[in-house]
Amino acid sequence: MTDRISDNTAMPEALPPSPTREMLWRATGHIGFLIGLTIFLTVLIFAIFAPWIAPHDPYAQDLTRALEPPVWADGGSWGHILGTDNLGRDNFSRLVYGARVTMIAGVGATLFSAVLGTAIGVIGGYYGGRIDAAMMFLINVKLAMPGILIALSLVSIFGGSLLVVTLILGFLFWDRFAVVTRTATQQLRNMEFVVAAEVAGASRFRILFIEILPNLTNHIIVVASLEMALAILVEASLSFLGLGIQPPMPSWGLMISEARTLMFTNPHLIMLPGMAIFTLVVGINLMGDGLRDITTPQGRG
Amino acid sequence: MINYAIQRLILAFFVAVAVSIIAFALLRLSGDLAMVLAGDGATDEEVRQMAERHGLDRPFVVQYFDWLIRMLQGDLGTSLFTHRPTMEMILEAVPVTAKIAFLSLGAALAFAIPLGVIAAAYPNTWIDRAVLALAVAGKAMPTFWMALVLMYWLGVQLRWLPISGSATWQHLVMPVIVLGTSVMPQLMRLTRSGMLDTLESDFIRMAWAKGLPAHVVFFKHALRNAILPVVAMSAISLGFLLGGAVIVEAIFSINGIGLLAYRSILRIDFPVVQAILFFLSFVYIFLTLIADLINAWLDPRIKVK
Repeated sequence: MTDRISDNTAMPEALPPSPTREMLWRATGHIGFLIGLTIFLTVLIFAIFAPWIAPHDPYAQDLTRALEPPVWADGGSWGHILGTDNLGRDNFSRLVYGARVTMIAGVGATLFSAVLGTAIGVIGGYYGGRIDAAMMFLINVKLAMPGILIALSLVSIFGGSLLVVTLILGFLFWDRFAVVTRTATQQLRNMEFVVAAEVAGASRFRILFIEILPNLTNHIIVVASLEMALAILVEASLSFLGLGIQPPMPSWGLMISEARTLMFTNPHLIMLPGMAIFTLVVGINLMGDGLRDITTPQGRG
Repeated sequence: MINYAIQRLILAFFVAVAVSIIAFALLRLSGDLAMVLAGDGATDEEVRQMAERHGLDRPFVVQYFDWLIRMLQGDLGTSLFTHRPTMEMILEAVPVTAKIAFLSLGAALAFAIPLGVIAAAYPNTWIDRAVLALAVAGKAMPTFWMALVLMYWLGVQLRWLPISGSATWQHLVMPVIVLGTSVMPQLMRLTRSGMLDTLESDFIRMAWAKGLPAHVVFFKHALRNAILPVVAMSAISLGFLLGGAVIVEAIFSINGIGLLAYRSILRIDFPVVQAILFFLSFVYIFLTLIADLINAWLDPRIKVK
């Protein structure tokens, strides 16, 4: 059960395909998943290779060249493909570096909340009883708090560095991980291989990390992709409200906020970063929905 | 039913207590509030006076219970900024937000339920896919961006709608569209999956076998059963709409609870922020309690769990 990944390399053709291979096969036929994955990987490449892709320094101001239109509009030039903002900074370069900020906040927050939520869910689901009641209580308290307002208050207290924003977002999205892994663990703990490990005298640590956790991976990945989409939206919203990433760092939400006063004369300044957020979030959601279909073919919904 | 209700009520009570502690502790995390209140460049003496005036020199637990007791008596403190009672400010703002939240939920349901039913009636066809695409797009739309785009398009280009304030019904159209879009996808998906499940059950096959017309089967038999999770989700969505109105209210300058919270956070008006955090959590706890009880009443199996 746990080593399904390692045994598919030497699989003879005559045997039925391994679960992993079957999943890969389903993935290549799932159009939504492929579109989503392509969008996600494209943005990821922009984020990682930002210094090589961006033609200009995203922080370099040049007031003599402020508010240049994009190349397709009158007066646009190939020097600044997407034009410049009110401080003469290159929009394309800021979008590329913004992808980096978005990805760090989105992926970082998701990893953090995945670890936190999975720990709470697995402990509650495995031990049951009072410990489970305590974990459920934590989840209920978390759900009752107005997340965005808490995040705004925390940023106003601790300041809006990328690290702080990422950690605060991490605290906002752990509940779904906890709920999903808790239910899955409850089902797993009564399955034969877990009971067998218990009877064989395996340590709690071994059961949780070697027997249960690997079987939760699919659930965690599906939740992670859907929560990452949310985390990215909330990061953009916080930055837009001025209580997220702080200037002059290029965040897509902040770029929209900075262009707000100019939106009636230069609408492309809010359209471009907005489209970037929208496209990335659509992509991640398609990827997440696709992953759910691929990992649980029988249970669509 | 009574037992279940009491059990849920006790849980709700303890959640409310925990939330009150967190809401209170949250703003004490900042370290020395007195220093923040006294402002930059204040002398030690001024900071000390500030701490004394707001009771910040007492132990944390004492401060908490003092706050809690006064809050239970209906005294939510005084704003540090406007020097008005917090209660008054919140009560002024709530009706505006509540109106928009109910309208948005109504609008979302008016689209979500028919679209969900249609998608379930033609599963895996282009109709179903179009509805799901709409759900994906709606969920991915950054609310603040959508608000700005609508403002630019409907407000400035076409001049159909006013772009800020909440004076007339026209002012509420854009906020309702934006907030409605944010909660619609989930309600639509729930309607769809609920309908798909229900349509496969025996009593629906029976209804078809009796020769009932399609609209009776779909809306009278199937939808009634499929709607359960949608009802529960509506209560939760309402809680989300009340708490999530910050962005929309800030953009359209609507003097609701969200904008009040946002402004209070920006000017470190902690009695107001604390009170709003607690108020919104309390509303959410109340709404989920109602949702659970409605569900248990509609579906007796839940009580056994």
